[in-house]
Amino acid sequence: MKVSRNIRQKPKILLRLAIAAAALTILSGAASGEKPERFDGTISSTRSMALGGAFSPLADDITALFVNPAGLLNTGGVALYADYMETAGGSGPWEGKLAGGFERWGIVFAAAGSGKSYDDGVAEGQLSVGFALNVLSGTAGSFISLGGALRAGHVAFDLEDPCIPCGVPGGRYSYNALTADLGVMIRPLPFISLSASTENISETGFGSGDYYIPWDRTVRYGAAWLHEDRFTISWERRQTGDRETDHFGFGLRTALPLELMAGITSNRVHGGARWDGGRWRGAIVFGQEAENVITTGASIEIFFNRPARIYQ
Amino acid sequence: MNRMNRIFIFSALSLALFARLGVPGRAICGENDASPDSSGSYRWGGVYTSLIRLEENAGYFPWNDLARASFLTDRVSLMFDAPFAKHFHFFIKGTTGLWSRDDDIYSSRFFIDQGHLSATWRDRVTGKLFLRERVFRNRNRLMYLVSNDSQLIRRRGEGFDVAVLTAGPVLLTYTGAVFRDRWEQKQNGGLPPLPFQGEFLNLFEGGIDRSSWHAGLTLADMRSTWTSWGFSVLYGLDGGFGLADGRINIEFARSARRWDDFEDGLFGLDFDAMKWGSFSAGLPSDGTLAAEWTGFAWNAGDKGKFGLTPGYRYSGDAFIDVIGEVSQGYVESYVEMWWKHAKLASLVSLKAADRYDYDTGEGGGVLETSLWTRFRGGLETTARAFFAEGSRPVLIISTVDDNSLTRLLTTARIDDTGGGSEFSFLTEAGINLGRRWTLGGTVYLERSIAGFYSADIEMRGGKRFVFRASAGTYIPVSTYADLNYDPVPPVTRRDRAISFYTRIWLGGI
Repeated sequence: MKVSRNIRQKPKILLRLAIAAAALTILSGAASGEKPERFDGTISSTRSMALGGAFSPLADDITALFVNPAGLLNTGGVALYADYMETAGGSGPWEGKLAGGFERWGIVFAAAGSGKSYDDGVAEGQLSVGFALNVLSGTAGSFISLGGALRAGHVAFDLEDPCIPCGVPGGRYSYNALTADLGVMIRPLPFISLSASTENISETGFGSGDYYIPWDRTVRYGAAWLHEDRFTISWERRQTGDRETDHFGFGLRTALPLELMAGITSNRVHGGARWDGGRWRGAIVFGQEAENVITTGASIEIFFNRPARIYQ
Repeated sequence: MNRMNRIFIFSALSLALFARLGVPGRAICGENDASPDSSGSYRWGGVYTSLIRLEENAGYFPWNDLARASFLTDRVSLMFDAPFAKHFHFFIKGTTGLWSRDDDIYSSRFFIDQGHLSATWRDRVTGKLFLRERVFRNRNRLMYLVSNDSQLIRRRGEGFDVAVLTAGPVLLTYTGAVFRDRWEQKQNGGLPPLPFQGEFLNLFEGGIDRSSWHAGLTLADMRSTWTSWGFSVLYGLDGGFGLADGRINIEFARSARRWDDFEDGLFGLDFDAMKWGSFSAGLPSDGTLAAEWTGFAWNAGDKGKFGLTPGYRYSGDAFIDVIGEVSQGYVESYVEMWWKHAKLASLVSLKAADRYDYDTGEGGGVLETSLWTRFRGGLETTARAFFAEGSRPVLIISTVDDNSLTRLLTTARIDDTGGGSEFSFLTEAGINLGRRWTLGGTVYLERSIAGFYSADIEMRGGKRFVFRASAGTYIPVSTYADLNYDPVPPVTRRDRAISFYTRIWLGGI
């Protein structure tokens, strides 16, 4: 595949944007109080949220990097993604993400940065760089792809009350950690998709001792059925630490380039709509976090040299 | 489980027996070519339905085997339908499996469920003896003074019905019926007992319908042998005439315990109490009035088509509604306007109303607006907004996408309750997997609080067999309609269960 000079330069811009987004979020924390109990490593894109989290078996955009890097193979050309989400009408945490990817030598590369800010001043950020490659191609669209990513996590918080026995004074603390993700996607038939992925393979954490902040490993596996390019049903089982959840989602592409989506996990309902304008895609979504707590989000994707196969 | 087995075996045997006996009947019908004038043709039909339901309990789910959480409800219905000598018609339906809510007893006995014997003379006179059929009609256009779903009539009584169509054309009808509690249907094999006890209804309606005007009268008398206060009488007048491509309809009715209770003449109007802006103060508290100018439209060529529907409704707080569906105790004046785009499939409507509720003492202006659009490919979207004086607005957006492959209904609704917005979201999806199988599912978020889901798969074997397996945490019966049209979002009961439904048809009905 030939890549123009302009497009070749865009990955660098993407990476810079991703780093800037993560840094901006991390630095935006307000006054805090305590050390966070754990680091929330899972990241939802808008489509993932609308499908109730059942996204890894049919990941078809650059945000596959967050849940299953092998899904990056479903993208192509050069793609940019940005989203913004907030909870409880802005009174809860908010988060933003930037991602970009391109294809070279038959391998899809992607980079993404994300930041999340809680109302108690805790800030989390992540930076990922990953790839996906085609291991096996069959006829009529069947394939096996593998993907991997390096992921750096960052957490920052303010400690108001010093821990004198521990010898830890008050102030702002921040920690970094590095880990990796792996994923596989299998399409034995064009309308069936299977996936397995592991996020944070090394199950690393932040800090040490009493101030250790765990970052749980997340294992995902799932299956999806893609019916005549119109209807998708997906399921994902997710294990994070000792918590296991099932996620169910479905999406329907209407005669307009509009996809309506809905999903459910743990009796929490999610939904949304995505408009596909050819060179761009826009989505608005929501997800129920708890009773009377709704997260809403919006995203925009822009494509250059978008191949026709980005559809499922 | 023993009782369930007995029910099932009995039901299956009954169906098989009737299927066997029904073969000669089908042959006779075939010989006579089923002519409507034939004196020898008849049809029969049989339906077997069963529902196995496994409800969630504290034990294992979904594969629990606790008897109290597992139900089999099945029934066999057999129908026989025969026209005789052109003018007569006989129909009878027997069934097992009556569920009585009154005594909470499920019956497996076979009994007569409904039927009729009717006669017609020159298409001008019809008479019918009926048993538990929905024969009650409503001649009104704006108010349901008589309804098969009313408090009394939904109990499905037995009686006779006569209709005479004379020159004019004037239609005169009389229905006499007696209603009993549902558990009594199981007595005497379903045959009606002698009409000495129950709630008796005499209903007379008459009217003339011309192309440019109509007028009519409704008289009803209900009495109960069970309670000393169970009396109710009603009379209603209605009329209408054409005006400027539209039609003005006016309907009025009063009700009381006894005929002697009506006061102040036929209409009970108090003209002294009527003032500008307070017309309803002079209307009787035992009366109801509806008036509407329906169907007026103006075609503006390239600018589209405009319509206007003004109306007025009043229902006194003493109006007794036993046989109809008339809400009690409110007054409302409204005007509805709509505009249809000249070329696009798009319709904008606006309804402004001023409503006052006597029970709550609350009222004020209400504004409802909607925009409906159908896009290429069949996708329809509707956006609605309700603004009521004294309360926060409601916004509803719904889409319908229906084609040969898939069907999707989606509704998102925001109710601003003052203490924060409540968000509700419902999506119902169905996908056709070939000609026989359909896969469906719903996801429902109610008021930002409760989440529900349901999933089902249905198989249709020709026209005579349906099997459906479903699972979920609620029963999505009317959620879509409630969410779209009710002023307040519904409150759904969590009902987690797995169920298997089967329906088998036999015969020609």
